[in-house]
Amino acid sequence: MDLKRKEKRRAFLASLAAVAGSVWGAPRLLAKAAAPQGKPTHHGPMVHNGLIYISGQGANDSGAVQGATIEDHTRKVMENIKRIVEEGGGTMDSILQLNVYLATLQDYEGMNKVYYSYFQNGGPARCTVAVAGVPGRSLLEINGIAAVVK
Amino acid sequence: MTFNVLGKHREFMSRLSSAYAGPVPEGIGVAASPSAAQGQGGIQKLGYDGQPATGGISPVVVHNGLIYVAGQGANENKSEATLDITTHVQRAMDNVKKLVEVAGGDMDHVLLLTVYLATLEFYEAMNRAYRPYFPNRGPARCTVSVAGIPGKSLIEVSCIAAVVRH
Repeated sequence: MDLKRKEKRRAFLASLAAVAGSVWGAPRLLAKAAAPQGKPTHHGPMVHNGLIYISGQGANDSGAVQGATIEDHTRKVMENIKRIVEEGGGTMDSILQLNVYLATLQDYEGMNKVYYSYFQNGGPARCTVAVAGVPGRSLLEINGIAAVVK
Repeated sequence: MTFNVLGKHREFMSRLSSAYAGPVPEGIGVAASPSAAQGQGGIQKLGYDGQPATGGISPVVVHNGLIYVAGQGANENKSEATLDITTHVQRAMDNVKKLVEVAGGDMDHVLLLTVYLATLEFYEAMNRAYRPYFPNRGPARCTVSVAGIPGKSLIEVSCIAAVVRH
């Protein structure tokens, strides 16, 4: 089979599939399932199917952190998270899950002190561990999932 | 298109959509249950006793058919861990089981689970203690050893599960 015939055959099969699809409505069903929902993803967090996916935030993301303590770093990270969640149509109270990665477990109490101040009405399900390294000269990194509520 | 054909088309479509939903555990994609809708935005934050959680960490959060379980340790909270890894795994997994069930799920519908170990030397012993919690089929799991786990626990486990009853 030469290239032209191959191409023609492919085009025919594609049009056949399109006709069959329009009869049964399958493409519409699939398109609906795959359609992005919520905010566009170019300038904001990843939002899909009512959930906001928060990338790992370090203290030096969105500008260098002011101050060197775990409290300073935690506050900066939590402010980043707050901004991302609100951009995505959520609130601090609609955060479902957060993972906290600490550069050292010695910062656990200091992190907690600042972290708790952001959740007065019941916080998300949280998981905290200390890891071998956090990128970007940050004392911690936090990622998570929030629900769209707005 | 006659009414009859339209009806058949609809029947086919509903069969098609139920075929799509087939392999997905029950409860996923189901709209929030009446009880789950009580919280703001259909979010429920619960404690080990099933009562609303108000602290900075909620042990379990339920939203849109999914259960988010916070990291569970052995909660020994001594200055040094005194119990063995098997006991630590059992304590952490018993906590996970309790929270999943409090939230309306069960162990067969845990979807994704992460295990953090204090040292990789515990890997085999952890597996032995972990396996009995999933006699049918275990969740997608990810295991790493980390530099530190709070509360002197030898293990920390978090997971996401599906709501299966309302």
